Amino acid sequence: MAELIARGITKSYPNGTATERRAIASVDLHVASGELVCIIGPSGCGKTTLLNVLAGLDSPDAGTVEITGGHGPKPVTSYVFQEPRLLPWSTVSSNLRFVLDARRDTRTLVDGWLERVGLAGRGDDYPRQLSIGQRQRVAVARALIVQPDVLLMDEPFSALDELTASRMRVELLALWSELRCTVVFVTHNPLEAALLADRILVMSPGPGRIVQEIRPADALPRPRDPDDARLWELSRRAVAALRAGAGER
Amino acid sequence: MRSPNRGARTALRLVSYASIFLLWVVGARLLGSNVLPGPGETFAFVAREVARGVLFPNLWVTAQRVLSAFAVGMLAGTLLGAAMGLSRRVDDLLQGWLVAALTVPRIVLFVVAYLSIGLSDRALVLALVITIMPTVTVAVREGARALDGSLLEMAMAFRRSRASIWRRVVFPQLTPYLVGTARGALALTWKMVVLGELLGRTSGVGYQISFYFQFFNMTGVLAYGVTMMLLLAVIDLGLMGAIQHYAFRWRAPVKVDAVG
Repeated sequence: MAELIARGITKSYPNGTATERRAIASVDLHVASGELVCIIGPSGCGKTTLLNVLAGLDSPDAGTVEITGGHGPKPVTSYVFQEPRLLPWSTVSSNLRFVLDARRDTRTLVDGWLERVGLAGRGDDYPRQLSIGQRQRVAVARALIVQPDVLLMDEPFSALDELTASRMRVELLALWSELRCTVVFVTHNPLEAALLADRILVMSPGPGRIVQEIRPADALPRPRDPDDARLWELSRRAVAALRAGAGER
Repeated sequence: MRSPNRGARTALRLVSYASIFLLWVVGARLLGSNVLPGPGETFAFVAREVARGVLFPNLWVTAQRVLSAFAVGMLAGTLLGAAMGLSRRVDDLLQGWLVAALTVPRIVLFVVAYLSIGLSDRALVLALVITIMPTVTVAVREGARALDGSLLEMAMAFRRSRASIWRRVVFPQLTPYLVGTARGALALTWKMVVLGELLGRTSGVGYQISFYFQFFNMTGVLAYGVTMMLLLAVIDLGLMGAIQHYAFRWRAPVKVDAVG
């Protein structure tokens, strides 16, 4: 488990003219060890930019990211993208092995993780032989097989039908409660955030800033029932916060 | 449009090959064997050349030249193409060289190579390398430009090594371009080597063609030409086809699960 601290993250992109478009501005973020934090915000508010900076895929114009703790000499981060991003020319097993160190005996580990995400016996299939939901399960297994200290998830269930997505949320919570890694989960779905998060951070439209914090952990103990009326109440609060962040009434 | 089934496709292909053979037979009948020897005469000449121990050694010499030039040209073209596709600076820097190499008449390459290096295998192979390299470079450059950035980003998010990213992410994406251009490059090398040998070597299929040309022996010219054609067809349809099939096995049609 690891603690993630981001201070004053600012990131701009060239917008084709002499000026730059500021994606996020002075974002401070503190995620405690083993905490599951959801970040919600409208499209284009810089959620993915923030996640990419946290993952080290993008360097910020200003600010720092610090990850401390973890079970190894260096904290391990992993990422679940909006799309599965599997290597189409590699089998499911080979996609999982890709993120592991080559010298390790990986067969048992890979088979075990495939079983845990409900894909036992599908290791020799190619990604195109799987449904989109199954591919995203492989992506989740790929992110978890590295035993991450920090797991970054960018709207991982947004491309799935609601039935599959709700099933995968429950499975994710089961895996998280077992592994207890630190999770930053980006979504634009307030109800999803209410179901999953210890804390919800609400971002304003671009340049993205964190404008409000909601604490589902205080109102709803785990395990949470997806049909619990209090989830809807939290979701309504999150929507109200989004509106307020966007300057709407 | 409905595509024909496998049996019909095989039949159509056989018709295609048979029509070439038929045209050859009819042409030989109409023009006479002095102008166009028929298949029987030609293959009898091939058999005599084999029995004399001339055909295979010359074919082997030519094949060695082709393979050397093909290997060097593919490797150099792939490296240059990848560099140009991945770096705008390298692309701009080498743009002039690429255009020059693509537009120079092939025969000039052979003549200049022989004049500057001498009538040697080195000159011939060098001219062949310069002949195929720009074509390979262009194909691989396009492949490198079309790399899927999201997969590269995924690999970087998992802190994969540069070597691992090249091997597992970049190279498989370049494979369609490499295989496609390899087939074209091999065919081009195979054809151009004959011209190069004809111009300045004293061995190989091209030399044999030049030799029989000097005696106005059409059967000899055709015998070596047809042998080269058949050999290239076997390599292209057999070996290269098998490589292509293996490289793209993951694209084979499959049944996809409907549930999440």
